[in-house]
Amino acid sequence: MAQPVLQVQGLCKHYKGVKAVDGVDMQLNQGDIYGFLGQNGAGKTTTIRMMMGLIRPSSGTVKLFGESVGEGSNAVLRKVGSVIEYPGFYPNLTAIENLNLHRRLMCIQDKNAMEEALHTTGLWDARNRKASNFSLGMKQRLGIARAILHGPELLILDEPTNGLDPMGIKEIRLLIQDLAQKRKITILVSSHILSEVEQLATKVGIIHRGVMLEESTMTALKHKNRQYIGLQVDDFSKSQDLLRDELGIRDVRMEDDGWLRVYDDGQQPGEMNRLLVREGIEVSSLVAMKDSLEDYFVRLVEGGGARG
Amino acid sequence: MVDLIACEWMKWKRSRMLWLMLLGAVLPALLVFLVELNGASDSKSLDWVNYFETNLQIMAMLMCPALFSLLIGYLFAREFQERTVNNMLTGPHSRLRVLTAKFIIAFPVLLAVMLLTFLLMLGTGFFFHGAGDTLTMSILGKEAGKYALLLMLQYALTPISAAVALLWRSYIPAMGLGIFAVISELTIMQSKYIMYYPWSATLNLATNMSPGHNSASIGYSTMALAFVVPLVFIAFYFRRADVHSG
Repeated sequence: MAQPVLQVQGLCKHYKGVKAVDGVDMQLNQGDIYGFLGQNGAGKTTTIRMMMGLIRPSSGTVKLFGESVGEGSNAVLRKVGSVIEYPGFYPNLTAIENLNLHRRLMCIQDKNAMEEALHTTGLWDARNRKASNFSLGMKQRLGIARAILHGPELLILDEPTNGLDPMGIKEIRLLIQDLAQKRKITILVSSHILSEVEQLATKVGIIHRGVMLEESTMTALKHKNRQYIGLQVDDFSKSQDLLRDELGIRDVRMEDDGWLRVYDDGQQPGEMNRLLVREGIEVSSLVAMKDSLEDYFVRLVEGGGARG
Repeated sequence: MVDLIACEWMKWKRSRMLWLMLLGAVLPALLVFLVELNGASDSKSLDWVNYFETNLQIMAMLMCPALFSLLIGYLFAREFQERTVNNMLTGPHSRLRVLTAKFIIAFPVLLAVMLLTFLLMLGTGFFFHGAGDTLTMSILGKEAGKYALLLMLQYALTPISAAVALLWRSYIPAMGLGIFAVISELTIMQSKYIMYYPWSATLNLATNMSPGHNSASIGYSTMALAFVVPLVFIAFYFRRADVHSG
């Protein structure tokens, strides 16, 4: 089996007793678009900073292309492009001058790489404008241009759509998909926006309060989204009791959206309906439904771990 | 390493700090020129030594400590303030090399100010009566040597400003350090401890303002310590520091 592009094992970062990241394991293989999902403050950026050698882990290891990240291992970073948290640029320099500076930093001889990166990100016409005059969306794109300039095999983008309007978000998403398809770059995208990750990722890692709750392929995750029977009844409490006591259904929940949800394998909608009607409950709706990824994420985060 | 130095050089293009560098060189020279102009007469030739050294004293006492601390603070802390530090430190270079490149580029930055102010003095001196007759190669060489000595002594103070900038990740504290240095140096230069304090030692070594307390060995030892201690501190601190901003 091919060597993982990125392998993180037991990664921890503690600050004066506070666990910012606690035993995170991750693996990215060639060609993955990895969605690193978590709420604000979940530990995504700290984890990414440890991956890139900006923060020293309290314990655990990070391996990029099989090489440990740490002191004296900076050469491997030549294979990685990143935009971490905010794409900062030298405001006194133009877009192309900022890229030229990065080209020298990464010891790239080929000046055409700048032109290619600017064309890829749609910034060629703005190449001679100062970076300080760029909008946030343009800065994000310039950040990506800088990150791909040296032809990395792994691209790490930390919240690349932060602060962007819907059009900007879509542009960045299409750009990431384009990079993955045309340049065959393995990509890690962190985000707190689930729909964004859902549309992009082939693999997902969900982090919450520094703990990796789940890591799986997007396909497997979608399969895990549980089916349930949604009921709208005139007496929630009595219906819940009846379904539990008479049919032995354990997982019955009243949700804020006004639906009674019955999660159970081998649900019998007809039987439920008959029971409730027989007991004088008015059933106005009874439908088979499936959790969205968002529902799954919320359940996972609230439960603090993966459920079947 | 050459690439890193080139990067540091490129960052100064169109920087607003260049205007400060220009001002830092021009203002003292202009002040000395105006004072000389006020006392100039056709019967008196220009005293080149005095002309050069008045400017040297202003540079050593006021301009260099404040301006150079700001410039060095800017050089080291701008990556944090402009949020480019992530990019700088995720390249294929070690942090020590990044720091080394900054210390290397600090020299031409300081040199530019000193060279410009020296050349301005030389150029404006010819405005005065008899300047061409009184300027000898010996005077020129000796005064250039004094400006060069001041430059080297000021360069020895760069690790202090760099340490302050890196610790606070902003050039504002470095600017504060520069102002503090001017005030404290003016106070200490009147005491017998003049050679034990880096900024006043610089002043006395370069201009001999307090001949009674001008022990070169103490002065250069002070400067060596002022250079080495913060340099070692930076090397250890920055190599291990977590980078959260940027």
